[in-house]
Amino acid sequence: MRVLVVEDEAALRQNIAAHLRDAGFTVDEAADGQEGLYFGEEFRPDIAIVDLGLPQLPGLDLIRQLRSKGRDFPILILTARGRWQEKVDGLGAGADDYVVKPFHMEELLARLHALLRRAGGWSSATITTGPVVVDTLSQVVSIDGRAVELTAFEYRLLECLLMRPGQVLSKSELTERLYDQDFDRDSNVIEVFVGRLRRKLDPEGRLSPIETLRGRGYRWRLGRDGG
Amino acid sequence: MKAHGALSTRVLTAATLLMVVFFALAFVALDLAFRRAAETSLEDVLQSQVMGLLAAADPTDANLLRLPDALPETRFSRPGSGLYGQVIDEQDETIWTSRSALGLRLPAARPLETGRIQYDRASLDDGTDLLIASLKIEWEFETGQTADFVFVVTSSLRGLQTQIARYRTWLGGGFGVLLLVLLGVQRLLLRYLLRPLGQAESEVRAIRSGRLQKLSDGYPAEIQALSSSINELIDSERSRTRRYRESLDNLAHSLKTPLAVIRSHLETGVSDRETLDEQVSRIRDIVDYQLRRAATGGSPLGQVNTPVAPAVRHVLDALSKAHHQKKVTVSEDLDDRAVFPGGRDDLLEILGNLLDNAFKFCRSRVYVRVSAAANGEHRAGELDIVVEDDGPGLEESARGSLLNRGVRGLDDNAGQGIGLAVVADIAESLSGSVSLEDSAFGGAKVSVKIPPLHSPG
Repeated sequence: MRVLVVEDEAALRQNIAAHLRDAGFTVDEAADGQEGLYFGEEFRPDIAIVDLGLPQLPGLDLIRQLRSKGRDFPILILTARGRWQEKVDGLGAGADDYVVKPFHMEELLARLHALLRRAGGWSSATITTGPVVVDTLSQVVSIDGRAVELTAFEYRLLECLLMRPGQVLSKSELTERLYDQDFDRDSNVIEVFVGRLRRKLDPEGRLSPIETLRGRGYRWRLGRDGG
Repeated sequence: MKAHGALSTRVLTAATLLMVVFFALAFVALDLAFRRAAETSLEDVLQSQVMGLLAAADPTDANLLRLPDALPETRFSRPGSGLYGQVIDEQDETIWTSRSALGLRLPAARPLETGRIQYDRASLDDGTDLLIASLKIEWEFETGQTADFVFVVTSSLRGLQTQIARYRTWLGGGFGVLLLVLLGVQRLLLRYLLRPLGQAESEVRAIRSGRLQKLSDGYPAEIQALSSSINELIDSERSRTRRYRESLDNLAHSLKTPLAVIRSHLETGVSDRETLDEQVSRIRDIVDYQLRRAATGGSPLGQVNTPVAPAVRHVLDALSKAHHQKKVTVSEDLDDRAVFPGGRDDLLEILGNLLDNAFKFCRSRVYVRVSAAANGEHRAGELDIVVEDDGPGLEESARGSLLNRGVRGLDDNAGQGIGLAVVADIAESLSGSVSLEDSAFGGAKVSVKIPPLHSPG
């Protein structure tokens, strides 16, 4: 999953970015509103964290401009003042949630995951799709009650597919979400990992949860069983 | 700040100019009228003298006229008396001259119409101005012959001129005195009228130097509005300053405890993450609370009303986003006429805190009711905001401290949320109140009541 972090305070931004990378996110860092707008339009993040007090382009305006340009990824705002006016105006401008500074990284991560799940249409932290159950908090995956061991990269790939259920994700879209921008994009790597994920989730080949659409990409095929 | 001419100077200058012009015009008009009247009456006198001469003239046998030596008007007989008579015949020969004209060369008469008295002006060789009344008549003698005669009465204008000069002196003097009196009265009147302004000014100066708390009452209506505005400004400025000072004071004091804990940990070298974290949270809460408290409160003169219903909807929109993981049903009963007697930020602060708590603690339902006690058609009454939820409710014992956390600067129980205390502070700054009760729905019920703005005047 690709996260855009727009925060002018370098120490905080780098700290957030480091935590997010540890948690398996691909992170774009922007130090001001203009840069944030550019990244938001060009890199198609899955979610953005926007500080409200930004130089160049204030956070509220950044959010409004992104929304008016049809960018509908979830946006989490960071606010220092904690006055309700700021929160209400921020959410009114098109943001989806807020975190008041200073905050715990765990809280920020929990909010991010919740927003991503909601964007994918999942309402609870435990995603149930067919026989596959994914606990997004503990990152434990099980099929018919049997735990499946996944590597961190495999889990992130699964998460990417799950967050767009029913949608086709091309190899390049997956690469964008799974690697930083300067990574050498070799689409064969994605093929290899999709293959491994398939074998782990469906060793007997009776579920085929990941569909291949030739020339277009991959799609999570299993339905939404609530949760 | 540059003053553009004192009010009193302006009024005085304008009034003085006006009065001088008025008196000058009045002087000229009165002078003209007086002169005209004096001349007319002199003309009347001369006319009757002419008639007197005419009556005194006796025809002689030689078809001539003869006048007696002594005339009833003695001035004709006294030389240099200023009244002279002449009778002139058809050949322009002067057939009679009064004795008073002895030694004087009276100006020659001009040709005249018969039967009409005519007035002329001339002057003597010595420069004395004269008024001349001449009447040409056709005398019919008993013989049946007729002859034209001109009866002339000449009067020196010296008397008249003296009279006019005296009149002018009196008039000018009188007007001058009157002008001075009026200017003096006007000055006094002005001072009397402007006294409240001067008083206000000196009171403001007294306030600035700390000798006075506020402007006194009892100004005239025109200034009262200004003075009560100034008083409000002073009051709000004072309470703002007091609040800032208190906030700073509380902030400084309440930060010391967590800082002391952190320092002691640093000194003992025990790096207990959890304790440090707790203290940082506590510092955050303290800073948050004190900053919010300092920023709260009505603006000095900007007594504004903010409609409540739209703000409630904004907050509900925002909260349903922020609490999306929870399925909350909101029942709202909003009176669209309800207004909040303060700024939007304070209103959002109240609503945000109340509704956020309700969203946090409810099981699935939140109730919000906003009403304005009707008080006339257009004037809003007391604003009543009630928020209820179906959560666990508030413990009776905790209620007081929830509202009064700010008083002791969050010394205890930090991290519990300061929302209600902030709400209470805002309500209090607007002379309102907050009450905590049990909701009929099972959870907490918070009501905020705020009286309407008192309309000025």
